[in-house]
Amino acid sequence: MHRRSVIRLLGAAVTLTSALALSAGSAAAQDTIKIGMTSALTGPYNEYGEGGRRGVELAIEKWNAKGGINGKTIELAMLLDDQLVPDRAVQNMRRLLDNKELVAIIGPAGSGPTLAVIEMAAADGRPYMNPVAQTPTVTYPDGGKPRPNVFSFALQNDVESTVLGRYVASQFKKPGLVHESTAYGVSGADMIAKELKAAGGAVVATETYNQRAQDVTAQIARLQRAGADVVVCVGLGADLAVIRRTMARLNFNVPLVASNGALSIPYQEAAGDLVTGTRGSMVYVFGEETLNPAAQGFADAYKAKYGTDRWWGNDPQRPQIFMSLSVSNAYDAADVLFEGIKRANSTDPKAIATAIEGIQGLRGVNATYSFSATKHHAIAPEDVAIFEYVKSGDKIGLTIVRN
Amino acid sequence: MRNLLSFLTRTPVVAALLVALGVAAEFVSGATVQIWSFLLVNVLLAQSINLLTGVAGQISLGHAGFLGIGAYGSALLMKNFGLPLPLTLLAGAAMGAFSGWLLSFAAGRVREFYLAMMTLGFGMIFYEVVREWTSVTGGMMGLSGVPSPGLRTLTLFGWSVGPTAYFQIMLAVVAGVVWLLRNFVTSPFGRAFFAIHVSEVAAGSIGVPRARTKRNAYMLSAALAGLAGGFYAHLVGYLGPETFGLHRSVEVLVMAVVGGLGTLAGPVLGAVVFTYLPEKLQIFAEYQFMVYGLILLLSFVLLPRGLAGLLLPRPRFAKDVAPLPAPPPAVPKPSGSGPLLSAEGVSISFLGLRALDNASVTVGAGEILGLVGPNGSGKSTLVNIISGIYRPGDGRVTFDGGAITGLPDHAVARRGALRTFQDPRLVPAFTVRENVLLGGHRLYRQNPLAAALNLPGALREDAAMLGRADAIIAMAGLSHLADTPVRDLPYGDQRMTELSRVILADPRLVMLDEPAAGLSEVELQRLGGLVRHLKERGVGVILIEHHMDFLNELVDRVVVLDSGRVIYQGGMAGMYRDPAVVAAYLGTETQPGEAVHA
Repeated sequence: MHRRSVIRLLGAAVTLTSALALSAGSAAAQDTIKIGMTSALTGPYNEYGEGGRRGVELAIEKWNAKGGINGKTIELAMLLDDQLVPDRAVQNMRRLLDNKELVAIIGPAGSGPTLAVIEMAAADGRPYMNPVAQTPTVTYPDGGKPRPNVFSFALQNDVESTVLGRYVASQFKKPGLVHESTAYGVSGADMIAKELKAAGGAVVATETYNQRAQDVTAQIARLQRAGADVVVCVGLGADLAVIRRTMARLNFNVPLVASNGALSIPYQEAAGDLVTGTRGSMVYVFGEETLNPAAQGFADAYKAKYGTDRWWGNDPQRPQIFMSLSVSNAYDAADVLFEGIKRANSTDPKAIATAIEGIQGLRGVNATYSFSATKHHAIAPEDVAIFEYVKSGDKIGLTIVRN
Repeated sequence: MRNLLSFLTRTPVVAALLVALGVAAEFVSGATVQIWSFLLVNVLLAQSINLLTGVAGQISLGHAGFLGIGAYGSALLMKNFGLPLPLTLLAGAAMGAFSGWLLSFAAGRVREFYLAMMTLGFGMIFYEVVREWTSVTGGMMGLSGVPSPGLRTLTLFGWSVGPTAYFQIMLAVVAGVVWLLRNFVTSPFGRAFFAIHVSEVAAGSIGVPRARTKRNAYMLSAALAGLAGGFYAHLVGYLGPETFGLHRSVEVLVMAVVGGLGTLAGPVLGAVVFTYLPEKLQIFAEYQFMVYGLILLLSFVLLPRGLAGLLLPRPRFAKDVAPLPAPPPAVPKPSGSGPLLSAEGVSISFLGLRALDNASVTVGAGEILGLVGPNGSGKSTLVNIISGIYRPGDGRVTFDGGAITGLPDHAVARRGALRTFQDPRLVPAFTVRENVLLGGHRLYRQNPLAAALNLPGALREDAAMLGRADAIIAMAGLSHLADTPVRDLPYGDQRMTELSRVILADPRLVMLDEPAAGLSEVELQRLGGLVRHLKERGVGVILIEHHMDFLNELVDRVVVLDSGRVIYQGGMAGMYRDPAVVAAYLGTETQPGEAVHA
């Protein structure tokens, strides 16, 4: 008797849940716009991944609060963790692409996993937003035409290097170059050297190091012997700190000008007071005296939802400059995507891509966005500035360097 | 539990599972097919390291290098030269094998920690080469545009291969590879790998050439890793150097170790666990690395023999064939006139200490020679020189009409001069029967390919050898223990197993180093019986022994050594009356019937 009632109960439960699932499924297909995302949500590199997730969720909330896209609610229907491991990203991307309900995809938080998945995403054809990967080939595979469905909101290597190269060429005579041995470091250093050459200068020495190297004495000493009047570095924040400390130890008192890692918290923490005088290139939006309205709106929303945490930074009054590459880049990526879907008034991949290409002068957090059939990257040299750590009294602050 | 799961290892069940998996791939989602494909790559990799580390006992911390060589090799050949998939996969495996072959020369010179360091170095060099050789490998930017089923860019004989078909191809290939591996590991060649693993000296003593065997292990293992690399390259369609770093090598090793080294089911289980584990661990969010570490830590404490050791019955290391009845032992005819073995004027010094000084000994066919003398008098040294472990400084050893002076031990063993050791050197995980089968190594005529393919000729030879082994085991009184792993056996039984192993080799000369030590009275009887059996078959026997009673009953002649010199040759009776022997060895006047322990 017991057994029979249990079976009957189970049967009822199964019927009920399947009925619910069915109705939920059909309702969802009509009323929501689903997007998917894979990122480094955990693991040693989750600074960009978890930040990106928050950015996307903030953008979704903003759009849903004003009624969604043409009446449809937006949902982050699949959120997967790849920990920045290429194989995991490939597996996640396959799961995302298999889900035909997803309208668009937001990709991993670094170049390695992004390069591993980008061809799959390109072959699939649904809109793909790249929030972090700085390698230009993600968007422009052969340097010319962009992949039709891929849009990049990262600070591209070439953009960053152009800014650094122009700055160094205008200020210094004998730059010494040091870079990490990754794709990012190698291509960045190449482009800086090219930029310097174009401006009529030349690099006096070029050195490389491996990520997380603990000793770069030999490299820095060679730059010093070559008589460099500035050390230009393409690398991550923690490694920059090792370089800066080594320069101090060798009594090599020339400025350090570096890629965006110079403005990261790992650099500030590990280099301490030595940061003073270091210059770094960065999207300048959060470094302005008064934030632009879009940035202010984003900052308020972030503070309300997550508080002033690690991504926000030390100053409760205003977000740290670095937020433009860890959170608001993904926020803008989602924002532009939704704008495209809205303008297309369709979930057809080609229609969305065409709509995004039609966006001109749209004020985002990080920049004012204009795309075209040949331009699929969001951040241009004009959106990037050189910052310098300046000590005033006891406090060290970042100010934009005016040429 | 083990018996419950043991049906999973039966061939029909495995075959049915494989077919079910292949069919199921048609109905599951693309993501599932893809993760199954990654699983198969991991199975190949784990089998590869298992063959090298678990079976042949050589450590590798650079396996990602072999994986990468296969991956870049296969990808570049297809991308740049348009070779078809089967060819590029084979080429990837061949490139892996070639690099393994190269590495084996260096690896043959070092052991243990040094070997680990060396393979680590190989992995690092590969990683750096891939990063720096930008024109070929794409450097840090990686290699994009590798034809891949996921992108529908992979074709095979004009047909576009989709992810499901690719998985089915992989499944068939991996199943075939594991089947070949199973046959290989249970063949004489596989057992030789295990022998090298446990003791290189013991392996040499039964005719296993250590350098060549290690080289083969490296080549085979690297070929498997190369094949895995080829499959990986097309599965993902993109290759970046980060995939082939140290962490990958360690991950592969962990898979095989947690699954169970030395078995074939173990690496499969390990691959399943470590393909799915990271995904399942996502629920632990930021604690997942800690949980992962904890699982590793506990698995080594709780599962010393891996998952396979916990869940599955002990694997076999011999093929499951019905033994053929043993033929009656043929008495070999001596090929030359004169003694079977003669060592003339043999001398050797260690750090200035003259261990043997112009010692000469002869043994005839069917003769039992006792070799006695105080400890340190050079008895074992003489046996080590005859058996090829030491090279004499001076003198000449001839055996069966040919010079064997300075030949390596495995070559001496191959000619039919075999030995045992003071401490039995067996493969602990092997049963008595499998250990005895090792002795047949010098007699097998099958080639590795026939063994891996289970060709009828090879199986017939296995069956005949099994029949002979069973007969010898029966003679040694070990029949009731034939299926017991020797690590569970007492010392006496292990000695008898080692002696049986030597007898299976069909020797012409047998050298026994203190075979009676630690044996009970009953076991001594049996040992005596076996030695007489050898004599009847015309085998020459050299017996190092302190047990005078035992010698008295068996030997035809004794040679007494003292400080590396022969001080007496002749009958046992004369030895007791020889003043030099009494002074050097027997000490006081001893009557026959007393054991002497010098």
